[in-house]
Amino acid sequence: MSADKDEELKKIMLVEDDADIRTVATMALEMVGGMQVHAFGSGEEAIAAVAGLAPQLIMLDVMMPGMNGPEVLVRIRERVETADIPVVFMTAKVQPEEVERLRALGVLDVVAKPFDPMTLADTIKGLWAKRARS
Amino acid sequence: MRVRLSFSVKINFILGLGLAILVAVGTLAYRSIDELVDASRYEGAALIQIGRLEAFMAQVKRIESAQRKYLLTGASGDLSIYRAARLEAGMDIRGMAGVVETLDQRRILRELESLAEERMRRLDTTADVRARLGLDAATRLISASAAESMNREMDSLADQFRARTLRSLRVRQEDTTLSAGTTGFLIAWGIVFALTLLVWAMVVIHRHQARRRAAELALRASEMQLRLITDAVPALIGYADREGRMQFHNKPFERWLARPAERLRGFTLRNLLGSETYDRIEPHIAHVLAGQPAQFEFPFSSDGDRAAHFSAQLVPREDAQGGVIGFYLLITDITALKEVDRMKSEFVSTVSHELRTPLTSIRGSLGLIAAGVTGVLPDKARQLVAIAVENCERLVRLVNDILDTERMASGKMDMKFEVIELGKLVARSIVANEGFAAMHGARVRFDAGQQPQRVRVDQDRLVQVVINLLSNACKFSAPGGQVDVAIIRRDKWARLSVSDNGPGVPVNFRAQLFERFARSDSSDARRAGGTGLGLSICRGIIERFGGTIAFEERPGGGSTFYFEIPIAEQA
Repeated sequence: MSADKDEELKKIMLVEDDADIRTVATMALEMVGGMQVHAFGSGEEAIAAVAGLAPQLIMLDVMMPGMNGPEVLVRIRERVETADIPVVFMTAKVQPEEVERLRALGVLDVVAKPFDPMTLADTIKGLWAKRARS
Repeated sequence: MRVRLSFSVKINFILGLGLAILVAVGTLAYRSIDELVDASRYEGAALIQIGRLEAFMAQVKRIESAQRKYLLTGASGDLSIYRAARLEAGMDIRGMAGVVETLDQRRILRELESLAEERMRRLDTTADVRARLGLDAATRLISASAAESMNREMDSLADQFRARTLRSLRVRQEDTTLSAGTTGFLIAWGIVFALTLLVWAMVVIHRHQARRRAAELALRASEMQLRLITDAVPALIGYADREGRMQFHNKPFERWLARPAERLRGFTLRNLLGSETYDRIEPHIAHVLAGQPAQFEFPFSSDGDRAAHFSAQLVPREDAQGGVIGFYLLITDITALKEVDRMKSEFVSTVSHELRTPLTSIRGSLGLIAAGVTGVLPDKARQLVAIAVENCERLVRLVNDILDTERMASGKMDMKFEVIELGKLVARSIVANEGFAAMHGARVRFDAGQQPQRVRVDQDRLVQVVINLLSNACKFSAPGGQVDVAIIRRDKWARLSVSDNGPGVPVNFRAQLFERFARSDSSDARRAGGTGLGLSICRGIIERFGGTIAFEERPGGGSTFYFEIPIAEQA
């Protein structure tokens, strides 16, 4: 599925196993950024729903029980209808080499936890705009 | 002061003295023997003289007897016998003249000879008279001659000669006896002295050998002690020559390589460690052979199974001229330390991650509440939430700083070095810190200097340092205060200074300023909400850039923190 580069970022899929973070991130993106967030608690649920949901961008936690973030990314990239959806990783492992390793997997960027809820939406929109320009 | 002479000096002295005594005694003995030979020769010559004199006198008697017989018989045969005896007597007396020694003896011989010649001449005359005029005429002539007195005079001269010769012989014998006695005395004392020297030499040699044996025993004991110590040390200790051949090793070395000593000593490190390991450590060996100590870590598996990690220290050994003739090896098994280090890193990483997860929820929730996203809060509640937000941020910084500190301590902080313009990086950092400065009511003034300074650094890490110094200066500045940032060049160094007009650093805290978890007790510092790790991390980063970081009081109040890093070489 290919998103229109000029369209406004509205529909986001959030994949995060921690319910509290999921809630906070959802509130930050919806209440501060005005986006529509579809949150999932595991990689498996997200993969099952992604094609039907057709989000403009996926925010993906790296460390999750069961299928982790990179594995979910591979599955998303494998399917033609979801292969082009931009993905942003969220991780609490902020060591430079870890961030570089994740970036090398072909994601938009990596957002470090803990994030600032008041700037999270702007950060994601900035990445979205940057992608649109490129 | 007692002077202790060395063994060689003593032995050389004894040998020299002994040789001198030997030469002296030998010379005396030679001279004494020479004198004895002379004396013997003289005695022989003297006896020959006397013998010849006796023979001469007997000859004279025989001539007289032959002449008398002729006078009585008048036979021509007797005349011939007489004349033959005459000729013989003249020769003997002349032969004697060559062997006499003294003038007195020569005079006696001359007188005796002339007397004998006169006597012979008269005998000849008488014999002629007998031949021509007959017995009576000869008898008258004999009666008229003073034959008797001449004979007595000749006997007297012969006696004088004999007596003088014997006296001279006696004197020589006495002289020779005295000289031989003196020589014997000196030789005897020389032998006694030489024997004393010999005994002394033996004592000196014995003492020297005893001392050497004692020194050897002490050395052996010391070597044994050293060997026990090196064998007991839980590290591999060795020495290799320039060609990398092992010349010394301790027991752990043998156990490490699973080789007996005879299959280790003299073997090259390439042979012992294998080409793969040796190729890896070869640059360090080249380094130590160039005269510089080397320290490095390397993996090695002596049994081909268990992978182990080792830390090696190589120290060059130099000869008197300063040339490297080999190197010492100290190798320690750091596998366990590595494992502990790995576990520590993993622990810190895990704790960091596990702390970040709940912090994400707390920070996010508080942030949304504080921003009024969930509705307007009562003033007191907003005040309390603001405190919670601030301390949550502090906790996040602490987690980040602990992670950085651990990575720096374990040497895992990777740096991406590149040459950049320092002024631009500082300007960027000031912009990034603008919000923080505004929050503390601080104004930042930047003087980038006349010339751009290029430095070779990791940009992200240098930004981290600059922001740390800037945020500290903003925090500690008086409200509305000014923070001065300046770049200057000092020889081959670029210096960045950040000055504030705050209260300064307490004197008793300055020494620990760049230490980990260093915290001033001042209430201002407490209020500033630092983690106590920021400046320690700054120092670690700046030192990785080959620079230094320091602090100085600012004239008129406040502090100046600065770092100096090398100017990048022009490409």
